[in-house]
Amino acid sequence: MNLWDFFPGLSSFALMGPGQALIRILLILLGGVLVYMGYKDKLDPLLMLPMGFTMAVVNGGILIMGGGELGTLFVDPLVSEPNKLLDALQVYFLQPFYNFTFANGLIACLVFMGIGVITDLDFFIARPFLSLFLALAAELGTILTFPLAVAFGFDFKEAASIAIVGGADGPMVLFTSLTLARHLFVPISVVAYVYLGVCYAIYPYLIKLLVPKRLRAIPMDPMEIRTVPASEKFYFAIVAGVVLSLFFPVAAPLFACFFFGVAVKESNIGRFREFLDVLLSGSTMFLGFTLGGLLSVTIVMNPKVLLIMILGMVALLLSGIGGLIGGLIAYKLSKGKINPLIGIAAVSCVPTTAKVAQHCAMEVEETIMILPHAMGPNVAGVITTAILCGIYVTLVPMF
Amino acid sequence: MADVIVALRIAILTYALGLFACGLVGGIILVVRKITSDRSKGVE
Repeated sequence: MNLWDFFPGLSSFALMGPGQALIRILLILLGGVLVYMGYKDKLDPLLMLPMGFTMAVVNGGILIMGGGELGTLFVDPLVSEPNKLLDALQVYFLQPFYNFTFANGLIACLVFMGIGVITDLDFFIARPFLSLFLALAAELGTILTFPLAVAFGFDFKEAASIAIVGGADGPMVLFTSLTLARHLFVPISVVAYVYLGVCYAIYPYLIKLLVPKRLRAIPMDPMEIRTVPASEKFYFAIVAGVVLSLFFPVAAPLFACFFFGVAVKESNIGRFREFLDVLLSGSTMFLGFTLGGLLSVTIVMNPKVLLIMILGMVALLLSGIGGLIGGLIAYKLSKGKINPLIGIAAVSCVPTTAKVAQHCAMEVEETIMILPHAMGPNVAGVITTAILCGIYVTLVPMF
Repeated sequence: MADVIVALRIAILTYALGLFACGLVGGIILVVRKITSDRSKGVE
């Protein structure tokens, strides 16, 4: 017995090839960077803190498992055969959480229910057609990345799972990849969640590139937006949930959870609201914790990962461009009354992109307030991404 | 190449269905708005 046997995490480096060892070290460092960025509020701390921490820890904690193979005690997402799964549930500490909340899409639905309860539909319902027009324009990445991914050698199901990254909504990415391409669920969902943070740092540059300074300073009066009664929002949530489920039953769990969250908010049932607030925090924490746990070098060493990273970035950039083009069209059609920046807010992920729009407008004109107007397309983006997710999940298996 | 063309068709069909579904959502908003405003007028 030599000294290294006392430290299996370190000695496992000796059993790896140099490339794998390097990626393992990079993943530990990337985990640290994500924790730091979350701590400093540069990226969403609710997700980045648990995800970055577990990502660093899981790659530190690689050891030699039974059979002499390298692995961790966190989770084995690729196990499916019943007997092996029973073994896995008793060995890997995140396995029960993975199988009972991730593999069946429950976590995506819980997060979506929580998003419903914090979503304010006022601005969307006040100007529905402008919001939906911009949201559809901002789905450019979700649509164009699909044939692009097929051209890069992915099959239809894999391509649809990658394309939905362009919708910039984590729960939809989880739901689509778990339904259509479970084997690529880990890299796709991680790319999506990491990029959602990274891209919002890039969108301001995209805005400066595509929207002239004078258009960014166009004022929009927040008082123009009519007050929407709670009953209108409540009835809309119930009817939209039922009708969309009727048309796209494969995505009915997502519609049900989101619109139920909205209905709880608008019916003002205090106990439900408090519970769903806690549920959202808890689900997001465990989502990040488990995603980080899935990022072991032994799991992510997939030759398709680099391509998924490139296509994910392309999808989000195309969606940003589509949103801004939609904003510019809305500006023209309104004869200069609409600030085109609200188009970028249609790339979903409430409320981050709306804040990006407001921030970029304020850089040009300090007193400007376009945030309320940006919230309409922002919420519409969530709904259109859920719709496109439902269509992809329904349509793609038919071909 | 044939796969890419089929993928393009799926993408166009997806967008068309998305357009239809968004129209549906817009229609629901208008109907709900009409009904709730009529009811509130009735109460007044």
